[in-house]
Amino acid sequence: MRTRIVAISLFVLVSIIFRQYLAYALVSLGSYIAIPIWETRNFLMSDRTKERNEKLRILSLRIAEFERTGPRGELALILSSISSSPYDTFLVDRGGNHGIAFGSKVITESGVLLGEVIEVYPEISKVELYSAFGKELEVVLDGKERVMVSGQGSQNFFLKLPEGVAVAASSTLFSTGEGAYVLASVEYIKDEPGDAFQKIYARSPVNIHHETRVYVLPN
Amino acid sequence: MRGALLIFTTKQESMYSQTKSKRLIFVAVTLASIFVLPWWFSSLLGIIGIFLYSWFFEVLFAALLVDVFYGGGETKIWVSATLLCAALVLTCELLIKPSTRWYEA
Repeated sequence: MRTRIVAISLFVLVSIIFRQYLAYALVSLGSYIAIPIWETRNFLMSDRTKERNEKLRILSLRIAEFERTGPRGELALILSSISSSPYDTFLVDRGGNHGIAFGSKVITESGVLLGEVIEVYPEISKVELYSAFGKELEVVLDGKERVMVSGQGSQNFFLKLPEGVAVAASSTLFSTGEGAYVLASVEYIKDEPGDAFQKIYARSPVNIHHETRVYVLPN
Repeated sequence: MRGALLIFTTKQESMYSQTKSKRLIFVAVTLASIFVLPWWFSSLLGIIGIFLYSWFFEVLFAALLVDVFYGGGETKIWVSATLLCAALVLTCELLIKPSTRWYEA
């Protein structure tokens, strides 16, 4: 029994120390097995006629948008389901070979900010949602104040603001910098008498579980 | 006597190979579930495997796969949370199982 416990400890220690090398090797090689599994799963779960119509709709949208504003970003297919990940991450089918870089922002087709690229492999990339638990981000509240939001998991956000800051249940949180993409909308404000701060709960306006494609913006 | 021993040995081997093939199928299902099914279902399969089979070390590889495929990019120890949890449950199983009446070495 003692030998087995030592073996477990060694395995965990080596895995943590060499995590980055292991991740690169396993994901780069494993993606050749995992991508067909994910694609088959997505194919089986989708309605084929609906899928074809959706492809045509996206194609027409892309053409119209390209004619209007030029390229928006790299259109990527979501491979892994967000429900498979305990860390609020998902994988997309565009990687370093397609020009994806670390830190690139990821938005939905409707322009809602989702997260950023945290790991890039030759054929796939890993995206972490801004709503991942403990992740903090600076955002603009209703186009006025800059505030810090913290991710609470499952596309939920939490803010703690002083009483003086005007917030309504219809307020929207935008990303900073160019583009000002929508990140979340305020759902509930907990304002207790005697408390110097108001607790604000916000949620992303899109359901990531229904999304099949995202845009990876150039960094 | 020798014949009886031979029958007994063959029966034991057959049972062993049956258990081994069942275990292989279970491991394959657990590994496939990482990519297809929700994470809580894979965790459930891992825990069931730990208590169903003796020294179910395969759960560590499954947890490592979850961490490298879905874990965050930051270099914190918590990016390997799944692996740490799996190691903890496996260690608990090693300590608890021998004191249970249905344990087979």
